[in-house]
Amino acid sequence: MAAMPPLTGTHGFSPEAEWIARTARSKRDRLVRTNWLPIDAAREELGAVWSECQTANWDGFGAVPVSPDALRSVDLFLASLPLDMPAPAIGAEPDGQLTLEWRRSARHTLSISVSHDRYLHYAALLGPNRKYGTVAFFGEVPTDILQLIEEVIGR
Amino acid sequence: MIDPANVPEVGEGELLARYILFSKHIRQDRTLKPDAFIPHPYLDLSVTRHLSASEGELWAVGRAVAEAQGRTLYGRGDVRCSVFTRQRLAVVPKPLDGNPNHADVSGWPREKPEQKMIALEIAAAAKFEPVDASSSG
Repeated sequence: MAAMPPLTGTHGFSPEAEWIARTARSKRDRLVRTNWLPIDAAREELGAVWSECQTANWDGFGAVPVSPDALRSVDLFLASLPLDMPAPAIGAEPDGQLTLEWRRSARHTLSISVSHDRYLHYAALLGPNRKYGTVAFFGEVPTDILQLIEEVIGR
Repeated sequence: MIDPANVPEVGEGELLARYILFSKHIRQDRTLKPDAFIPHPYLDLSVTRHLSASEGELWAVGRAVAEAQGRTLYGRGDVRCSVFTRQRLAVVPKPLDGNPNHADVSGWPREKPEQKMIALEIAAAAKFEPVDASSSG
């Protein structure tokens, strides 16, 4: 298994925003060191998926490898989730994008694909309704996505 | 299996199998993720028709696919043809050497969110069948 590349992210656009993000990350890291968070399980799963998807044709149907950039984006996404959010299941798609899935039932499921260039392509089944689209990911989980997660898990 | 000299069109009620060669396409509750139904590298999804095929023949095709790709066969996702056509996809017979039951699911949109939405609907209707170890060899 190849080592995971260094995981770094970007935050706000001003020094103040960067300071806030750094402080929040530092507090979060302190919490993580002393508590096992649901997101930690997702990170472990991310490592396992990454280790299996680094070579072409990992799905037997011509899949392209998952890029280190996609891995970094997912790690940053996980780190940006609220601490009380249930962890998603991690997967991969044949076009090399990593996926995050929250699921309450067959008809309450949200799947988000994270691309190497930090776009989030999402689709959700919400009972009889459907929602799908694309949003850019700048290092903070977009509010629309957080609302979708909460709707899917029934919070 | 289907007579290669007389391959019929795919009927709405036909069952179609998508072979699963990546373990993380299977959820812990033994359902399938939509990830398994995203078309790539082409806008076609490769499936095998149940029509005129025994269970043993279906698994033999799956094992042959896995072996040819150097992968492990974990199972298959069975989906009725009507599930695809309800999503405005078409199922077209595409017999191959050694698999006259092969078909392509075509008509996929190019945009990723639309593909994901369709794959979610398919996954919600798919029935996962783990590989039948008793029929191996």
